[in-house]
Amino acid sequence: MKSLIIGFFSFFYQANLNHENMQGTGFAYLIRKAARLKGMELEVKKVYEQTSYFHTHPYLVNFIVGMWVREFEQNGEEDFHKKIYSSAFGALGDSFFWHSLRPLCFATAAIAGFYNPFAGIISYLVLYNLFHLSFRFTGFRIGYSLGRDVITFFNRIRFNKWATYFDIGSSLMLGILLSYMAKSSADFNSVLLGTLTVYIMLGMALAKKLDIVLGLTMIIITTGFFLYITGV
Amino acid sequence: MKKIIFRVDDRLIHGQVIEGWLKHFKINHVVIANDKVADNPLQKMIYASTLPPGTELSILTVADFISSFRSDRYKKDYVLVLLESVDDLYAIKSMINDDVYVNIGCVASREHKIEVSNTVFLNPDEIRKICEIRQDFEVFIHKVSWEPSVEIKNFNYILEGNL
Repeated sequence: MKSLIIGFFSFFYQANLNHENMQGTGFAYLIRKAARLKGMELEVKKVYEQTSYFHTHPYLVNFIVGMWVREFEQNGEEDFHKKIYSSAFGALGDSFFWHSLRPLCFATAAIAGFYNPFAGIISYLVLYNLFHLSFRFTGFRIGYSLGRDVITFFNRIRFNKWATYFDIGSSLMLGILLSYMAKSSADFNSVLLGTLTVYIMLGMALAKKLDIVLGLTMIIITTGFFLYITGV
Repeated sequence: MKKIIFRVDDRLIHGQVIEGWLKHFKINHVVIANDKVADNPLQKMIYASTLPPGTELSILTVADFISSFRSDRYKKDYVLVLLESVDDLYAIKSMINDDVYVNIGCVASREHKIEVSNTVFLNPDEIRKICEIRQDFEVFIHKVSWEPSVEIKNFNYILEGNL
């Protein structure tokens, strides 16, 4: 139950995100709530210290909150481990949630959206939040039970490999989507297949070398120019 | 991009490092040159757990890094050397050459620090050290690879209070 409560309060965690102390204020807010749930009242000075620079992945912050409270109870080195875990969870969380889970959810939603737009939106929300909320609402409990060894949980589930697996899944889904689009929108022939292949490879190369938004913009402009020239 | 990158980042390995540098430049070897981390097994395990599969991690003291760098250990690799502070960068300044890209990624705000960019806050001593390195080699503020880098040129202005 306590883990659910902290999970709920962590929705407000980034409310004061800023360049100077990043999420430090939010962390102090969560620590105070978490300590109270465990029957402790932190000194104002201790809470104030937590407003210093702090930045981690917002979905994994509750693991650090749990670890911090456990270490504080046991007179451990809560602030030292907080700093280490903030960057480590930033690395794990950014790779998985931002760069792998989101593209997979998009590809899934696009396929589902082909059949029914409403199903597309629902599938995105369900798939994304399945992972997001699971980590958010269980983080405090796991962090508190494992303390400074909370990394063992992530090692046990091989979390650093999830991003790779999900990237493979996204590529597969994207392939299914593109094949379906090509097959359903035109008479399929070798010229169309060749054009699509070159197009996709060019797009991916631009996105990889330059930037995804810039690559997309250039592809749209090139397509527009091509359609204008050919009179389509 | 050059094959060897020296990056000052007080968070060492974090999201921007993984996505913005490792994956973007296909870096296959990360070196953390830091005396405290090299002496802490738990910290070593935590950082090792964050890297994507296939990336080698070496955690060395600053002195060990200098000797390994001189021995051409990293000749075949694309290497990202992470340093926690400007002081560590200054300690290995003799390793910098034209093949090394030096960037300041993230130095957090603390008391008596001057905001140089939205992720880099330096005190006067750190600014002096960077100015000294800057006399011979280019130094950039570069958060992530897809954002523009800012070359450090006029830091002495900051020291003179002309920010």
